[in-house]
Amino acid sequence: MWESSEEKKEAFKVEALAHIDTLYNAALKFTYNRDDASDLVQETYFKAYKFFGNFEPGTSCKAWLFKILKNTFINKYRRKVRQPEQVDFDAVEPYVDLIRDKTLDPGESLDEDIFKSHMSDDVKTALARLPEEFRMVLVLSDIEGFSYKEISDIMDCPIGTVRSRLSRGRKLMYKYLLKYAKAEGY
Amino acid sequence: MKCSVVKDLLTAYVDSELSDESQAQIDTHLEECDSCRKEMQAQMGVHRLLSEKLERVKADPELKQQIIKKTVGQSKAKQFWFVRKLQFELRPVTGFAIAALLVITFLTKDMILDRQSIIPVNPTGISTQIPVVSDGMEASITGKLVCVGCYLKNKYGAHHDCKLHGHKLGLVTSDGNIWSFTDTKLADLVCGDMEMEGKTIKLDGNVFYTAHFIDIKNYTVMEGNE
Ligand SMILES: [Zn+2]
Ligand SMILES: [Zn+2]
Repeated sequence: MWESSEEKKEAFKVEALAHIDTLYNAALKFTYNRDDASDLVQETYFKAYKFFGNFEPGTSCKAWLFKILKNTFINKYRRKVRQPEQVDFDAVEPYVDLIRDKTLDPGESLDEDIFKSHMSDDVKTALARLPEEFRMVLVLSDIEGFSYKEISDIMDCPIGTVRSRLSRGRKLMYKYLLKYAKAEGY
Repeated sequence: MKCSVVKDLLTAYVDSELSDESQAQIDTHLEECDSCRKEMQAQMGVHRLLSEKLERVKADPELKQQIIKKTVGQSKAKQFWFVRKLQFELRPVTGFAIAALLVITFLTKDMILDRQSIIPVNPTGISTQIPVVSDGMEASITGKLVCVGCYLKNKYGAHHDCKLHGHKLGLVTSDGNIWSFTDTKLADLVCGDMEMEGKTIKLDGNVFYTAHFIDIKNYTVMEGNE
């Protein structure tokens, strides 16, 4: 542990404060509200500073901060956040099977241009529409590049759950993007 | 490999979370199977869009300043009252020296310490008021438990966020001095229980006058105001 509060401060500066932008970017994708995202990140850092003694030097501080961010979000902000499309977790499953059957029919050709032509606005909108459980793991995996093990620690769920949420989340994203692409005439 | 098995592994394949061996087996299957390949491409496509196409939003400079200010930028003065635990535990001597300095810095005319309010415990059982108590001396102090943060906020407009950091009780004596407690189990019993707020309490323990800290040895609840 740190010899003095000055050493603690130095360690906190180097390890934790380097990730403010990263946490804010993710917080925005959790809350979809700038004020809530700012509050969420602030509170995450206050807690992190207060409990910095619990952080094990040598492990990923970014992952540790994300765990605090996720817990703070779940406990405090989730209830008041307006979901663009609140989908019941179980209700999504048959939906996803439908995607597998329809959009990924071996007979239908998968147009790779769908991905090339997509504007970041469409990606943003599609991500916002995702149920929170899926969106959070997609943010952690595809945007932040955490490993399954790290995501399972952050989300407090088994690796198998991480994998299935990622799979379902990506398939839903694909479905939304395909719809937007068709609407835009690609 | 069966398609059903491959499809189950595709997500992990896209994220390179499989062993080299499984990764290679799936490579082979994908070369031959349209259905699985399309599903892989769909997942890979979404993965790439998210990792490459989405603009990363930066935090406002004000937010960063606020975070720095309220964590590593915290002044010693604020730490003295609320988070000075580290100094206290690790470097008692320096801690006291700093705390003592701060107390002096903090003093205003009407806050001049009234040393009369401290009554040392006398082995004869007779309490005698003495004007000066040296640090570490045993004494008993009677006062009212208040949340120090809320008290200073209400009285002087001090910046303190109990909603975020939690209330923490301290002892206000009749002369207006505020005493905090060294971190011990006994102190947690007294100041960690918000139901104790507003109660008048007598504390026996070692008193550190300069720092206004009490190492509680014993406490007696005198009365409740609620
Ligand atoms: Zn196949
Ligand atoms: Zn308070």
